[in-house]
Amino acid sequence: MNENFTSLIFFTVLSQTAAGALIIRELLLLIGGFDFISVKRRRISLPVISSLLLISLVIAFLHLGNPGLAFKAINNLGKSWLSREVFFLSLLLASLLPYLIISVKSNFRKTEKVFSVVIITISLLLVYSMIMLYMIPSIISWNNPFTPLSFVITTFLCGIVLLLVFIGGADIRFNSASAIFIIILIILSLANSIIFQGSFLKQEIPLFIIRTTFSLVALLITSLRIFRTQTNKTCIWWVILFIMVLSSEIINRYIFFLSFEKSGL
Amino acid sequence: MRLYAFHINSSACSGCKTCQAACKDKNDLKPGINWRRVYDIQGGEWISENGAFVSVPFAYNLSLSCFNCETPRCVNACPTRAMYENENGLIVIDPALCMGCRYCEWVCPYGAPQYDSELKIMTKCNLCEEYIITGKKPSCVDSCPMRALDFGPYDEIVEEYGTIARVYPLPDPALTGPGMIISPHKDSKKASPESAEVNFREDI
Repeated sequence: MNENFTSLIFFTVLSQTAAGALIIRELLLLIGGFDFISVKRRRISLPVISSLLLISLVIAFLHLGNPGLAFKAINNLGKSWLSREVFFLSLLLASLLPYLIISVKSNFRKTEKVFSVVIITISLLLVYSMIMLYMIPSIISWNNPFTPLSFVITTFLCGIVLLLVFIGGADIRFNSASAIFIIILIILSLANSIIFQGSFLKQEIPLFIIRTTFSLVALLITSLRIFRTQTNKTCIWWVILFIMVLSSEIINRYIFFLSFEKSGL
Repeated sequence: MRLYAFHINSSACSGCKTCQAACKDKNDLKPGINWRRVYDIQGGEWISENGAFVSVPFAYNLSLSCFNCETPRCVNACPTRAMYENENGLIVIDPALCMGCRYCEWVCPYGAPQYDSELKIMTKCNLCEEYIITGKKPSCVDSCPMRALDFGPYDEIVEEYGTIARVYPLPDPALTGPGMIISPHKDSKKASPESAEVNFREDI
């Protein structure tokens, strides 16, 4: 395995998790689906997600030979998907800063709605850039439908589970809808691995078994009563669920990078 | 537009790696960095013949470097524009701009960009620019004892050697439009992902 893959595994999964959490959070705020949550609980999720995004950016620097030149990474926005990825990630972080300040001072008002739309758009563009970045024609194991599907699943699966850590238990309808969403995404994630990634698994079977175990535990937790009850207390189950889902997706991404197989020489 | 092309006569190449050594010598390349690489492709099968199984082995070599592609994926992918086409139409790297992300290494199907782990930047073949602008040929070409390599303006190379630019395991030339023409080894037709593999990668 290429030595610079490790930081990329964590960077991609963490930034997609943060982007997913932001997309879902802002969508819920826009459609009023967050009315059941106290302003305090709503607010606390934003700095945590922003910090996660910032951490992922710092991790991304670790795979660079010369991190000091990273600021030049947006020099080729016209042609390079890597440039675009860095640009949208920086833009997202930059737009989160004023949003954080505004959201601390106010309830959800008109200005925040504008920010919500902007953040959703940039987050989607960030995920799209990441997908295109890895759709490399000369890397046959990545240039297939598995890559976009895998990235989109990670984004929304880890995103909603992260959000549940802050707002889980506040509303039965939200919990039930989340449970269905999570179950569908976990099944899709496993199916995607088996169908598309199967031919590249080879010696990674033990890793796949560990990942499947984490996913099955996550499925088990999702089917527990906590998703059908209302409690305002912080529930340890949401945290365990997040750890299970995140671990499963990190192993999946590890397998993805292990499958690196170039056509040509 | 492709300005230059290498011609690789795979039938004539004995795999001696003199081109590789000449390149390393001329460019003072560190261990592990090979702007020119000679690959050894071997394969074969057992066929049933008159009640007995007979082995049909084959082997041929491919000497590869940067082919200064018409659609250089390395240039398009480079986020800092460290990889660029210079005034002589050659794709080169500006070391002051390279942040060492190694993305060019991923996107090039010919393995041309090579990482310098000491300087932590990418390096690549520049087709011996200082030679070719004075009408000379790159050091790899001139060093080949089998005359298996040739170099010149793209149109002249095509006129002399034809248009074949793909043998196993090279990718579809439509992907990047490499400045490369191959005279394939007669056995290369037998090679496929199932029947052949690149051997001795550790020797490259």
